[in-house]
Amino acid sequence: MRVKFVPQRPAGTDEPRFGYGFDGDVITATYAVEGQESITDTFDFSTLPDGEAQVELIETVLPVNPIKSAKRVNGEIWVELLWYHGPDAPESERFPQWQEVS
Amino acid sequence: MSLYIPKMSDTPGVTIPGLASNFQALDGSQIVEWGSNENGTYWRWESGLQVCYIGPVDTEFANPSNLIYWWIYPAAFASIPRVYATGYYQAYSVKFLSTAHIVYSRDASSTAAAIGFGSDGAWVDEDQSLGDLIMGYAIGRWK
Repeated sequence: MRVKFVPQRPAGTDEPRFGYGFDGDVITATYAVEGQESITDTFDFSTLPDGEAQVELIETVLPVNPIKSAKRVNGEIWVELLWYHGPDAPESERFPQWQEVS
Repeated sequence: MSLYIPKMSDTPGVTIPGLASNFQALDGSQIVEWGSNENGTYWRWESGLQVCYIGPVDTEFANPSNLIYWWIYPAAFASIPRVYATGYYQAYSVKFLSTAHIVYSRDASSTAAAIGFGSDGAWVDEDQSLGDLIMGYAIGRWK
């Protein structure tokens, strides 16, 4: 699986953050706010055929759908994931590159 | 030809007390954060005002009526902002000038919006490479 994070400053003052785990074609996303219980959801792309997924149709228990795009190309999953960064995030976080994660 | 200088009486809604109130509000609200990422540049004021912009950027061919850029704002808003788009004239294109009937924003949410060039069904793939780019602006509240 290839992943690219889509950087964004979150709204408000709570400073929520997303965390991700990868296992084959499955992504586990965690939404965390300091002082509150984290929320986790799993996104399974193992049945996605070659082509682009309609990510706007994805249902999630997370406050925001973190899947910004998903497609399978030559058998491999390519996904863009929302990434909340801090006010002074380094360049690598604000201008991320595609990376292979599993 | 004489130059017309606008007067306050041209716009009855604008009053001296109103202007003074606006400046007083600005005086009490400083920029608390600004920055940029691959989705553009943003400013946040203490009052809650947030302004973002992106571009000029390439659009993508979506269908014969739409050359679109799906803009994820560099910073999310607390509610749906006002989103504006304008073209960036980079190269002369007869087809672009005769085909682009509207520069629009649509489907705005608190995190993203579509901005694009609309036509009456005349776009074909590769028209996005005719040389005209798009810029987007979003104005709203971050808290």
